[in-house]
Amino acid sequence: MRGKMEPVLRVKDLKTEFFTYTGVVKAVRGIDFSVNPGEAVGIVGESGCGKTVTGLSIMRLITYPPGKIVSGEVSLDGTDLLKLSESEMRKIRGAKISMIFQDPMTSLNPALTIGFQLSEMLILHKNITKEETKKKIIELLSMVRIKSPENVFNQYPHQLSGGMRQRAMIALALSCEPKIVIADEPTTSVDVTIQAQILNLLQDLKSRVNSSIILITHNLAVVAGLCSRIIVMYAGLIVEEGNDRQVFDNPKHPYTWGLLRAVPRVDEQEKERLSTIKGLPPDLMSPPKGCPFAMRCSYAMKICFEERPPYFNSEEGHRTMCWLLDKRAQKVKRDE
Amino acid sequence: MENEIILEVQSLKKYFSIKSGLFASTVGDTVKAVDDISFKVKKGETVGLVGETGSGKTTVGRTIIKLYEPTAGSIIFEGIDIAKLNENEMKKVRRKLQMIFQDPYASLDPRLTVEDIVKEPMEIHNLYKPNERKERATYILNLLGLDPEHLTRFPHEFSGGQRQRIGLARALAVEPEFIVADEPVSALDVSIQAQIINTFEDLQEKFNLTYLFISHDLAMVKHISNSIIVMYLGRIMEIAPSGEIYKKPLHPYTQALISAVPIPDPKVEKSRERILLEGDISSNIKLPKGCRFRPRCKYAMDICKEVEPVLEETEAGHSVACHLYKK
Amino acid sequence: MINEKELFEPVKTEEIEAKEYIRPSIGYWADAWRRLKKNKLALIGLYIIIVLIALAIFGPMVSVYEYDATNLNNVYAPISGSHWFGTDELGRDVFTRVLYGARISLAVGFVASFINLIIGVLYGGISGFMGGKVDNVMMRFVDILYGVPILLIVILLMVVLGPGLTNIFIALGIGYWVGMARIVRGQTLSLKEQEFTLAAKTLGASRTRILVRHIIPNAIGPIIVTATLLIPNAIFFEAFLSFIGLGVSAPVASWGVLASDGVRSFQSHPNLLFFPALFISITMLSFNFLGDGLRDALDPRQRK
Repeated sequence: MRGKMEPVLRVKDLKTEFFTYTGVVKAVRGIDFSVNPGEAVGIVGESGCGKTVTGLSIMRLITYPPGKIVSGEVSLDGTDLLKLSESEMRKIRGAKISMIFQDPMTSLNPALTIGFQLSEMLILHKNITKEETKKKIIELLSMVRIKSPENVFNQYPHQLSGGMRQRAMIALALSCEPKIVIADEPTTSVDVTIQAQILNLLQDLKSRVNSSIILITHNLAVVAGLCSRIIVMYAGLIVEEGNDRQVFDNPKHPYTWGLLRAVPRVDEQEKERLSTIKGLPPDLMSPPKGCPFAMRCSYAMKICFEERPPYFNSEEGHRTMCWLLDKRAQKVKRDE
Repeated sequence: MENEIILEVQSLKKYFSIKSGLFASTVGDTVKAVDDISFKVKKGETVGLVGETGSGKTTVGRTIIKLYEPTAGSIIFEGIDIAKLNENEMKKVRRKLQMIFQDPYASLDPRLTVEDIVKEPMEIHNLYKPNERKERATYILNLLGLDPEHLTRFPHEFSGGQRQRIGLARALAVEPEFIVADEPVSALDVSIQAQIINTFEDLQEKFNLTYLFISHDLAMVKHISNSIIVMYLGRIMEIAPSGEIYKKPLHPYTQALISAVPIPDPKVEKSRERILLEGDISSNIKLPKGCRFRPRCKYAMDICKEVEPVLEETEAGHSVACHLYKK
Repeated sequence: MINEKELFEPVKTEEIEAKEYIRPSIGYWADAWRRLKKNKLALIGLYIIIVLIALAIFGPMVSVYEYDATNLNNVYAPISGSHWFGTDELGRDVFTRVLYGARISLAVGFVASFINLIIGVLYGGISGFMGGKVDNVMMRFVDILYGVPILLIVILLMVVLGPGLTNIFIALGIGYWVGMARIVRGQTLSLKEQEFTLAAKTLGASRTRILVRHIIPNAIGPIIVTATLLIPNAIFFEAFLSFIGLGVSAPVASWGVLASDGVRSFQSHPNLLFFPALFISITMLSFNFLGDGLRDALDPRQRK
């Protein structure tokens, strides 16, 4: 089944850098991945690992200066988005690929009603009358489970609660039935109860609209329920990628091990000491030449400081950038 | 052996009034941020305080530490009701009662060096001789895994986790007994959160500290606390030993809260039954009559519309404010 | 040369763990200066101001002419090697008078700005720090003052007090502190709610300590910027007052007086108006460039 399907989005060797006065920050350092139709992919990593920059690069929302996509290819249905002109890109943004941001308050215009902002998008991309637009928007708002959508249509963002705003943002992102929705930390600024509502909603919409979802988050637990494939990023690189079972049950990268055991689980029976990842991520102005995680890794070998590891495939669709998987390395056991 | 009680909060209320008018003399609505809560904290233990935004958990922390004047009720710390103390009398107590703030970026004065920051509490309370203070600061920094070379540096030169350690160092400088930690790790990355949480635990063991740990992250609270207080709109809904909160949550709100916390395991996560709460936390200006959780509660009964349930103990250490458990 | 087997030897990362990366320590002022240096316009402004101050202090000392020495044999002399800016209707050297005028104008600017700084910081600081009723009453008073045009207040004061340098200081000092007070109050109010101020409070710090140690040092940036931008305002205002005859009186000359005198013979001898006007403009521009540069350099939000 896999392999036959043509991916809807394919990212090849994407590199994005920021030219600041103190030096060049290599935020994304050459990543490859693809997203299949109707699939939900989670990109997980801590702040500064390049996950948000990846999302913005796909949307071509990196502004120069200081940011610049220095190389790579982002093809959506075979068209390389990085080669399009800005006006061609505008036609694609919102219509074929859209983004949900972390803070719904800053991504909605406070001076315009929710209805107006949603219609703007529809009128821009679809040729439909005012009447139809309004009908369609009410439909969208009720689809994201907003009660009394007729009222919300005429309301301003500040009149809605945080959860409602985030749902309106989702409605906005879905209004043109895009091929891909990139959700960047959509639940980070809301309470857990609202987070559960939103995740549930995304799950539901995925099956209904058949859009692909890229969920960007720092919280591994958030992707566990929604995503079928998980990409772990560290220091601008993909260090591990696999399906949910592979990454959660049989992770191969020591960084993924650390991430999984650093957060307490609400269902833990006995209190265990949290395992920590010592130190800090490397400075991306001068990233180390070897494995970026070597400095913090308890299993590091000499080679880890000398050469960046290649990807090792352990199973179909499961790849890891770690020297431990080289057959010359000693077998280590992940301490549970 | 039962530990002695170090802090007892009795019928604590903190209302904020929204003022308006030419000289802000007109008193408008009242926000009942904390509305009649009571609980006890034993020495050397950690009590977790969880709730959503607007539950009043931060206000509880700030009122206990007297950053806010309580509207009513008493806060008995080591036998003294500090709710009634004035700022001068309070100064002595402040040494023993410290706070860690949420935002490691905002809680350190950007214009002071680390040395100034850690020495300030010693200066205020006149601890140690002036020439010994630097030595003491060095000792505390070492204890927290910070390099004493960092003494001459400014807060903005540090990462979030390091700043939170500096904040801890400042609190420890006065040798406190009780620390209110208000979301101390929620601004940090997961790998750094674990470092800070472990530091909290080590310090507790070393100095027999007592913590009131405030957070919206139920998993984290459950991990660090001995018992947990669940708040909703200024009221306590449930108090339970942390071992029981997941196994036997009583209040429908606690149940929903626990079911909303995602678990980093696809097998568990995809098969879990999730209780979705309808709507958002309502405002604490116009509270509904009866139980304040009723509008979102799926078990709501007639009595819930009329009578506000009181917190009652169902078994040792486990109390709940819900009509479902009325004997 | 390490052989392949060795490459896969485990190493203890604790041993090789280098010091955590920390940026070089830069103090607040050093950092601000570094940022100011990057702003070319602000630097040019700063240099011009230094030159102007030097000229104002030393210029009249080294000049061969006295600012009030008349020479009726040499009235309206054109620009020449001996009189760089020419002479006026009484044969006084315009260059010397402009340099001397710089003393008066710059003094007005600095002193008026300083008076405003003191009143504004005290008033705004107290209002913001006390908060509540005190703040409300103090700010309503400021609102009232703000509602009356400053020009009107100053002109009325000048009419009552009469012309003269001291009275200009008083009038500008009374008229202009309102803006400073508002800025300081705003800063104080927001700093008072900052977590580091709350932290100091939980440590048991007294109000005075919080104000002196935490609030004022953190508000110093905007205070300096406002004070810097007040200087050209005051200079301009003095020039304006002098121009309409309410400024300093002859033979003392500020740039405003010189310009006012120059207007009379503007058509026959434009140099008499041109030079004082030029100096006023350059000074205004320089201070404004510097003020804008300082705003960017001192803003802590820009510190990364």
